[in-house]
Amino acid sequence: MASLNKKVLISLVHGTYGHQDDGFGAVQLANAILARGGECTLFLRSDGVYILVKGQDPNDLGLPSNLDELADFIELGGVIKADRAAVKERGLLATDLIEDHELIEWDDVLGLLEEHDFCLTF
Amino acid sequence: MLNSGSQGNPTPSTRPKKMKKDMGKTLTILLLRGPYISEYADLAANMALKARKMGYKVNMFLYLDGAWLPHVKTDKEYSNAGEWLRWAIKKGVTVKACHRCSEARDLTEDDIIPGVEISGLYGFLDMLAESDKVITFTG
Amino acid sequence: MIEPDNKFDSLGIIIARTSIMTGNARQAVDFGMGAAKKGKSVGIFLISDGVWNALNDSGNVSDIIGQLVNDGAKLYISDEHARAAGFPKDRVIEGAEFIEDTYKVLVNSVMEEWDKVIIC
Repeated sequence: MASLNKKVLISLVHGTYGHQDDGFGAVQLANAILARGGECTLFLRSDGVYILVKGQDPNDLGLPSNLDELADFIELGGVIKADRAAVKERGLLATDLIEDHELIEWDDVLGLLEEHDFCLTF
Repeated sequence: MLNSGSQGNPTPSTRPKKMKKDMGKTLTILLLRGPYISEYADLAANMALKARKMGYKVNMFLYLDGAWLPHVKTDKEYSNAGEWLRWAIKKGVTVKACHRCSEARDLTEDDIIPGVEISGLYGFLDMLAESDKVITFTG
Repeated sequence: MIEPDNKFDSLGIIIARTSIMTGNARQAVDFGMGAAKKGKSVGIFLISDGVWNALNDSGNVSDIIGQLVNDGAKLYISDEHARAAGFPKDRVIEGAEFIEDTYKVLVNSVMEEWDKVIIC
């Protein structure tokens, strides 16, 4: 199977279990891109930043944890960037979030778009 | 040589097929939403159909609730996204639906518009690999 | 390491939703403003409920779009969606262009006019 020679930016605006399919589906696709040899950056903005919150346990909802998918993403070499303003607006602290991400300013997003072949929005 | 009708014009069955202009570029549309809840399925199917008519190679991948779109498969008295999708397939748009998303919704190839392939995510990655532009319809 | 050659000159923004419902339209036009400041040419295509973002003096998003148009951005509005919504055309942002063949212009913009496209 041919390697995917593309760099893909996935922009996620839904990160909660209230919109579970979007967050989970975005990271699953991201993992498939990495597994196929492509590169992928997950850019979290708006409610998408909630996917970074530590200690998620949706077991009682009968849902798989987004954190398990994110752990695979990181292990496969994926990069996570999050909109600093979106994190702040939601009252989230650095200690609330898993460590494997970089907070960026909105002005940096243009550069992010330039660095990737495609941008997919979830 | 063409067969001619009684007026000397080609009959519909023998009329030479109009050569489709080849724009030499590929558009892939990723649809994440189902029909009716929003207009995104209509926008995606209409855009795919028009792009194909304009001579582009067009792919559509139906992901998450987008997998519901080909379930709208019968004629209705009103315009609907399923109808646009059928036209798009007839005109040569390649359409694949996510296997896991379809399975989660109990959608099988018997339930959906013929010509839509139920495929793994790698089916989408194959589309990405050949694309010049990719558009996501979400909301 | 994949090194895409993705320096771009033009950015297209497709908006299919109102600005009140979520902040995404606002983020998209802010992004457009940032791109314009860096010398990119910007095109905006309003479709579906997004047509309401072209109502003059209706708030932040329309103000920013108006500013972008003043600075040279192209603003397309789907005529069929504007008609469907009952959009008051006499109150549209100056410089906007209502498009009869929505999908033809949309496809041409995406495939030929714009190097990069974002959608919300």
